[in-house]
Amino acid sequence: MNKANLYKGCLEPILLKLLQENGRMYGYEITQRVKELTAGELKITEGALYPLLHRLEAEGILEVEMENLGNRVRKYYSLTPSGKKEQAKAMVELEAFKNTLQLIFNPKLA
Amino acid sequence: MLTEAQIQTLDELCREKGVRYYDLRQEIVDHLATEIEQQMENTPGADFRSLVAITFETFGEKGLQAIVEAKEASIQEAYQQCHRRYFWSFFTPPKIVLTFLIAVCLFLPFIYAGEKVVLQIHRIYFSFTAAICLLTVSGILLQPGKTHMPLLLLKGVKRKSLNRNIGLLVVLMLNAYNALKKDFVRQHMLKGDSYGAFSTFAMFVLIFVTITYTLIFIARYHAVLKMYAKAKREYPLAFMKNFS
Repeated sequence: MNKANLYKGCLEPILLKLLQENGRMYGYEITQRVKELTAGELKITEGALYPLLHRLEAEGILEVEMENLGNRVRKYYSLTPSGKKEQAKAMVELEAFKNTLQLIFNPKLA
Repeated sequence: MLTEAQIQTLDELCREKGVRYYDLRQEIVDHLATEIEQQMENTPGADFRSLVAITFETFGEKGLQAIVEAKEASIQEAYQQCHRRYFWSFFTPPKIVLTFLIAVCLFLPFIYAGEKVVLQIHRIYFSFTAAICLLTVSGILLQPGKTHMPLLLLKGVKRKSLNRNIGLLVVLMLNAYNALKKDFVRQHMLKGDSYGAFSTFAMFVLIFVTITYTLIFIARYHAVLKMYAKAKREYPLAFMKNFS
């Protein structure tokens, strides 16, 4: 079974959680942090990450800050006040989803 | 840290691969540069060119194009949202009542005042609408800042402003046309017959619609200004004359 498909729907809560914990992050940093936290089990592709970041920015969930690094510019993402609310909501939904899965895969624990 | 020339190489490659918008390219270049710097640190002496090829591969064959398309879609959504917010912010009871009152105040003299006053007000009113008409066209054509690099953030803003203001332009043009007809008021509105009453009513509708449209145009222009302010804040270099 393709693991990437299983993780696909969780990308948004993962991203929101990371930003909630780290304050502000840039694209590459997010991919590396996820790899590090999951010991390489989960790799977020650039093709999945950037469209998501841009969508969340457009929806007002994320705000951006540019930093000049000398010969290039770095774009940092952070949660807006409404993004923080959205993050809390996403965590509740994810928890509910996990509990629902428990009902099927591990009824004793549920 | 990569050199200026190496960053330039990455920028050129991104451009060749279809990322022509400066704002998006900046982000992709930084991503690639950070990844390459990381690789250089892990493998001292590694060749820059081969690292570039490996790093580009992580984006996949159509990865960059997919990012561009997704970004375009999200920018459209952001603009629509911004526009919708400003547009609907107009439709609050106090603003509607105020617009109605302004229209009534401008209209009342057409019923109660003498011919001389009516003609004078008529002239002032049409001069005002002609000025608004000119402002609208200028507002659409002269955007609040000229970019010297294409920004995805501002893609199609001018075209969308034009599409959205076609209605306003039609009404204003109609007023401007009527203003050119010197005897319009005397011939139609000041007549006591049923045609005169119809003309008077039509005039009221025209005044109301023009004022409403004008206020909505101001609200719409706010959305455009907001997009430009964001672009200027995030990519000031793109607005600099000697930058390309």
